[in-house]
Amino acid sequence: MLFDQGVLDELWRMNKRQFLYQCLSFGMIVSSALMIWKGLMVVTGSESPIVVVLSGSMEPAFHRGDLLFLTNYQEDPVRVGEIVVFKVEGRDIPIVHRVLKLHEKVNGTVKFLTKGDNNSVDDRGLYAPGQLWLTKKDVVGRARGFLPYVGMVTIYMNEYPKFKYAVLACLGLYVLVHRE
Amino acid sequence: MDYFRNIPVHMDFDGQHKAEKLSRIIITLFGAVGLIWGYIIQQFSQTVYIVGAGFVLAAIVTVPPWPMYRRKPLIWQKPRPDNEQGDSHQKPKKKK
Amino acid sequence: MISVRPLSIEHVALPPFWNRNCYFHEQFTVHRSPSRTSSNRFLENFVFREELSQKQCETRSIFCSRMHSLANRSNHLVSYTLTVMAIITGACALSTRFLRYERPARVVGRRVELHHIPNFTTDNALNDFAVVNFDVKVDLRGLFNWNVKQLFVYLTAEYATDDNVFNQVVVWDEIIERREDALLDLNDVASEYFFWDDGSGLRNRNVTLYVSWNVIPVAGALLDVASPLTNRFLFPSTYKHVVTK
Repeated sequence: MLFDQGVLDELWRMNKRQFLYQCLSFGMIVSSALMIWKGLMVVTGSESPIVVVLSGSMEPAFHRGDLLFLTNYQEDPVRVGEIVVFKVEGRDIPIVHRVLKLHEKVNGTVKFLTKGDNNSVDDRGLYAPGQLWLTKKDVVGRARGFLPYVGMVTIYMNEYPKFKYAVLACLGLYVLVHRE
Repeated sequence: MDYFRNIPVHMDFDGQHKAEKLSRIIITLFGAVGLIWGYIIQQFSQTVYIVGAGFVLAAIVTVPPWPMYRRKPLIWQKPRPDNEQGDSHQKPKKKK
Repeated sequence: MISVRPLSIEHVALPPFWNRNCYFHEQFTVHRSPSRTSSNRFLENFVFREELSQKQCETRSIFCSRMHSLANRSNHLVSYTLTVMAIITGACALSTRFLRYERPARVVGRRVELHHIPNFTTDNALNDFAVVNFDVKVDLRGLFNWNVKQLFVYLTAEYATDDNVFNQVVVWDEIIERREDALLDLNDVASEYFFWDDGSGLRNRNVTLYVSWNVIPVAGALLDVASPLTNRFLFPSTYKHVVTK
């Protein structure tokens, strides 16, 4: 009797209406999560308001698994020293690095160069072939807030798919089976 | 095998109540002390260590079914034979 | 699998305890004042719908399994600890939210030279290349508190040219992780990064040097603070070194 044997009984005792109700509440959770995410996108102006740091290139500031909160207000200018999250053509994963050089023209177009704190060279080697500068359209967001370690769960999920399915299955089962 | 099966792993209701209350008290206490201590010496890592210690302590004290959580076993009524009439109607007298 | 027969209430011998000390169990709190249906449901939870005719005492073991198991208790403990941890982290972030991180940082540019050479870091076009040595004197020890993980201190050169109205180049930076290392006194230090202009517009231009720092917290807001002190000087009017293609 180490573990709760009642789980199956609970399922058994559930009638159709209750099951539908559970499905609905499950859908509620999913849709409200989506709503919060989309709402954050509107508020922060960033297409991905929360990112998980995936590499050690910004150590010791950010480690793998740290969580960053981004904003990307267009009227807010990019400046040197800021930590930007940018996308490079041909790379799926956005990169989190610090702006090292910046040149702005009269008409407001900005080009800038980034570098990871833990890297000894700037990022020109990481950009798309022939790309020398980043521009505003490459930017996903600017780091504004920081929370350590919380993103570790998603890293484990991505690296160990079995773990991911186990977690999802447990959550799904719990939501479906658990009765108020 | 029977030996293992007979190891009691449950708490009684009273013990359950006590265990949960105790674990909350321990974690809250360690959290408060950790917060204050960390603020005094301005080291957040110390706060985290203290909360971690509280977690370990609470896990040791309240998760295993120690005998102290099994002091009030349930008293069960005798089983009634099947053919008994339902006149005694064991509907529980509850505080309304 | 299991032979199931719904039980009437009369069929079950309820233990006499349940109006005394079981009120804190979730299945009891929900049904504290049972209506007809909820009492039925209570009984469902209580004895299940199995054949109990002969040994109703056996319900006891089933009932025990309805109590909190080891897994339940660990789950409660972990989730409560995480909640407390989150509150503590929030309190820590809040406690430093309104602190001022400005400090005066003295900076002086020395030995300024201009070269006009091919920019090997980009497209090998002839660009202006500046050599700047500098002094920096700043005491950032007071910035460290329990919510500061590191300071990223950097020296920016800011200028305007005909091509670009606004240019910023970081010439030096330093990561400081401990309070003891936060007293900076640099004398005649060479720049750490190449100072290339985007074009050839550095001659006779004013440039402003200033120190800024990025405060990385343990948790909370990332802050960027610039020193109010700056050092403004003029680039030379002649190149020291010119390469013609």
